[in-house]
Amino acid sequence: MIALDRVCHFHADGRALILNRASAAFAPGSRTAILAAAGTGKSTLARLIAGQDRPRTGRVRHIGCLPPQILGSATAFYPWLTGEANLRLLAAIAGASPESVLALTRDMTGLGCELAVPLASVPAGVRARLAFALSYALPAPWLLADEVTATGGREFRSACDDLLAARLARGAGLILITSNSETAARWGENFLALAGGRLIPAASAAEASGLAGTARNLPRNEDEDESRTLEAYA
Amino acid sequence: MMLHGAFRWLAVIRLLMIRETRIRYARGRVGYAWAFLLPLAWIGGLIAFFGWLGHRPMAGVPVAWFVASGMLPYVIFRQTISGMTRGLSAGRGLIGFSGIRLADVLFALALLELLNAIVLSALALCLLAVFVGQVTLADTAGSALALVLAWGLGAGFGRFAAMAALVSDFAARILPIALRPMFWISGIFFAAADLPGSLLALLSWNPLLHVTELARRAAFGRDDHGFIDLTVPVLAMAICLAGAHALEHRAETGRPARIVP
Repeated sequence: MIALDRVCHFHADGRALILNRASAAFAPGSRTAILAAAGTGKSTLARLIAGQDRPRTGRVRHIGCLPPQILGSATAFYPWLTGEANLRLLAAIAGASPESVLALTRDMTGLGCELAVPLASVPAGVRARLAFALSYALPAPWLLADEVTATGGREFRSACDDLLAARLARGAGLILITSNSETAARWGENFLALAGGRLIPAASAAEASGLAGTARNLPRNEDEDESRTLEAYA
Repeated sequence: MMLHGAFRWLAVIRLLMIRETRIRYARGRVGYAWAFLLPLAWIGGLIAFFGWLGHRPMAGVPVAWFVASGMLPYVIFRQTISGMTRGLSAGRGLIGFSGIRLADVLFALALLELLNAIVLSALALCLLAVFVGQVTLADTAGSALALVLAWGLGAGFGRFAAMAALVSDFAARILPIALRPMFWISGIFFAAADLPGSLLALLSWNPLLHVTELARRAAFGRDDHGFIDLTVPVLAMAICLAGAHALEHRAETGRPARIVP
């Protein structure tokens, strides 16, 4: 279980209050979508849940599990190591078989010789795909998404979606923090709205979206998602 | 279950150390050998300089042996600090990955530096034996204690410096500069017994000078005239670790903030 107990936290710039004595509990295997408007601290909330930041007050507890990885996060990659060396080391650190992680990554991304060059030398898009492939290849009881669950072209997105669905079918839990109510409705079963520093339960993605003050069900713009993701990896 | 957790933690620490050996000099052809070649070249250069000057700081002791016994604690101290500060900067991205904490990264870096210190000391002794002749340690346990204390001081200060650099850019710039005088005041070029009383009293606050004197006493078996006080380096280490602990909390919770509800 992952639980937030009366958490207070601020944006990284220290000015905006993001969570104000917020509490929430995520049961193992549950799928929760947290709707939050742009600029209200989705990434900060993700970092708190991932255990990368410690809340100013209150506690984020990971009971019987390790803190989840943020899907597609490439921060653990070292740019001067090759893609393969990075994947092997990170798989071993996560307690997974490096061979199976490499096999799934090759299969999913279609990358071959690109894995043998330092990551600093490969395009940002390749790094992004590697990061997502690693996220889905590592066995973890929780998946944590900060807005995006996939990147790249249609084929890779479709592979990510298939893997996400398969992981959820096998009982993994999902915490999806998003401003897009369509994405929330697609993957979530439970819904929370981040509003006024609190995590407010909602009956549906639409209700959560209304509470959070996010844009109405706008058509998903994949190109925009892609450029945002690549900006993060550049 | 607890035992499994301990084994898993040790395995992660080992992997963090392996990762560090692969990334530290990943851009060069010589690779991790630089971790030993650079300090050995530094010690060798200083020995050559002393030889060129014809200066004999301690009667009856070969210059190379005198310089090496003083330089080794200093080099271990500095290497540990720079290894931890640079290592944390490269390993920050791992924090949160698979439950890795800041403290795990710092512990792995410190442990790696201890292994480096042991290998470096062994290499230095071997090279001295080859080029200078017979090298004997009057007190092997004392020499080992000096090595551990030099490393411990470096690990304590390194942890503090790494954490300070995380919370303040100013600290990241100023700390390496603040450490520079240590090269001149830590007994590399002189023995404490040769200093005038007032200067010795002033320098007795320097924890590394006590470690250097311990290393020399253990190497040559000379009397230190009661100068060595191991509480100084141990206390300095404890203060650094306490300071680092306080900074760690601040680094993880972010900078002090103004509340805008």
